[in-house]
Amino acid sequence: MQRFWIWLSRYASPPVFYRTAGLWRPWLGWATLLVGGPALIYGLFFAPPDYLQGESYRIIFIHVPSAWVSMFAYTAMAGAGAAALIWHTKLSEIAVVAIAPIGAGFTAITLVTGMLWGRPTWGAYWVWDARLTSELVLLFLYLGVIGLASAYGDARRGARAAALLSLVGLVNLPIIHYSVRWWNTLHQGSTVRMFGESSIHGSMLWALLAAALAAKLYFVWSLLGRLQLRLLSAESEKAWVARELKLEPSDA
Amino acid sequence: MELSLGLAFRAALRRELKLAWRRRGDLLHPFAFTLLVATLFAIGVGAEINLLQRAAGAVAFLCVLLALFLSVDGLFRPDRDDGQLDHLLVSPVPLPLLLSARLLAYWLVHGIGLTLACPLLALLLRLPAEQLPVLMLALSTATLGMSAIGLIGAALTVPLKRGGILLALIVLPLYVPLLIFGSGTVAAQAAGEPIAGALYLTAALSVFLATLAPFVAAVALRLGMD
Amino acid sequence: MLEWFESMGHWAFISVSYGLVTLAIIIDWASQRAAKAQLARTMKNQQARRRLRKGN
Repeated sequence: MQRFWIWLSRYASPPVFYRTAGLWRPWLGWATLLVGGPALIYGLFFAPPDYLQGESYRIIFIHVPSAWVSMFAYTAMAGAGAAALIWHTKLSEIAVVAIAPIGAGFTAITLVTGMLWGRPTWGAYWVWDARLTSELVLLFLYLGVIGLASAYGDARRGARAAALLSLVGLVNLPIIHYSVRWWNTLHQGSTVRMFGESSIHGSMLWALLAAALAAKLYFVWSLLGRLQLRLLSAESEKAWVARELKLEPSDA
Repeated sequence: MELSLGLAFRAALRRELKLAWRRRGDLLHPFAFTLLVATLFAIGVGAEINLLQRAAGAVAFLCVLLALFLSVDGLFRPDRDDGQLDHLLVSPVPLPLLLSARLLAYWLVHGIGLTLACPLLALLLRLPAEQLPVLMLALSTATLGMSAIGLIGAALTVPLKRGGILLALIVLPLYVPLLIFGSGTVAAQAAGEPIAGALYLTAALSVFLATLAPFVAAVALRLGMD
Repeated sequence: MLEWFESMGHWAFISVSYGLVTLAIIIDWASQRAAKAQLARTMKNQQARRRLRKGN
C-alpha cells in the first residue's frame, strides 16, 4: 500500500507528470482515431437504417457517447476535487479546472445533437424529456464551476472553490436526475422513447460501443494536453519548464 | 470556563434574529419584489383568467424562490465588510454550529417571512382558495432547502467582489429538485391527488440539505479566507 | 433559412451533427497548439527582458 502512495505521489509531481503525459498523448491520439474513425464511418454510411426512424438515428453514434462522457467527466472532476481538498495537490486542483470546459463541451454537443435528432424524430427541436432536461441542468452545473474558478483572482483559491462546488454538484446530481424523471412522468403521461422497442442491431451496438470508447479516449487525450498547458503556466518560474520549452536554462 | 455548544447555538441564533428585527424594514423589499413579479407576470400573460389560474401555484412558488435568491448574497457579505466574518472564523465554537444557527435564522426570517406573502400573491394570481394552504406548506418546507443551498453559494462567493450573476449560476440549478417537488405538491392538490408524497420528498430533501450545508459552507469559508 | 434546412431531410440533420463534432475536435486541437506556442513566446520574451536588465 505504501509503495502505491509513493508511486502515486511520484506521478503527481508536475515535471514527471508532464513528461509521462507527453509520452502517452500520441498513443492516445492514434488510438482515438483508429477506434473512432471506423466506428463513425460505419455509423454514417454502412449501418442499416432503423426501421422506425430511418436514417436520422445515425446521430446516436455521436449523441450517446458524448452523453456518457459528459456524465463521466463530471464524476472525474468531482473526484479530482475531492483529491484537491484532501491532499492539496497542485495537479488535482489543476485537473478540476481543466476537466470543466471539456465536460461542458461534451454536454453542449450532447444537447445540440439531441435537438438535431429530436426534430425529425419528435417533430420539435426541444422536448422536455427527462434525460435532455437533466443534461441541460448538468450544463449549468458545469458553467457554475467554470465561472467560479475563473472569478477568483488567485488561481489556486479559485480551483479549490470550484473543487468544493463540483463535490456539491455531484451529491445533487442523482437527486436532480431522479426529481426530473419524477416531474417528467407527472407532466407527460407517456414519454416518447428515442429507441424503445426497436432493439439495436448487433453490428450497430459494436459501432456504438467503439464510438463510446473513442469518446473516452479523446477525453483523456484532450485532458492530458490541457493539464500539460496548465502545469507549464502554473510552474513557469521553475527550471523544468524552461527545459521542456527548449529555452536556454534561466540564468541562476 | 467550558463553552456549552447549546448555549453558543442559542446565543448565535438570538443575535441573528435580533439583527433581523432591527432591520425589519429590509424585509419589505423582497416582499414587494414577489408582488411585483406576480404583477409583471399577470400583465405579460394579459390577465387571461384561465391561464393565470392554472399557472398560479407554480408562479407564486417561483416569485418566492426568486425573492429568496435575491437575499442570499446578503448572508455573509455585510459581515465580511465589517469584519464580523473573521470573528466567526476564529471563534472557539465549531464553525458549522454557528452557520447552522445562521441558516435557521435566515430560514425563519426570509423563508417563512416570504411565505407570508402568499395570501396576497394568491389574490393577485387568482389562486383557487383551497390551494393556498398547500402552497404555503410546500413553500415553508422548500425554503429551508433553498436557504441551505444559498448558504453554500454565498460562502463560495463571499471572497469575490460581487456575487451577482455567478451566484445565480451556482445556486439556481441546485434549486431544481426543490422546485419540482414543491410546486409538484401544489400541482397534485390542484389535480385532486394526494399531496403527501411530494410534500414528504420536499421535506426530506430540505432536511438533508440543511444538515449538510453548514459543514460545506464552513469548508468554503475557510478556503476563501486563508 | 431554417425551412430550407429542414426541407433537406434527415441527412441535413445528420451531417450537421457529424460536422459539428469534427469542428469541435479541430477547434480543441488548434487552440491547444496555439496556447502552447503563446506560452513559449511569452516565456522567451520574459527571459530576454530579464537578460537585458542584467546587462549581458
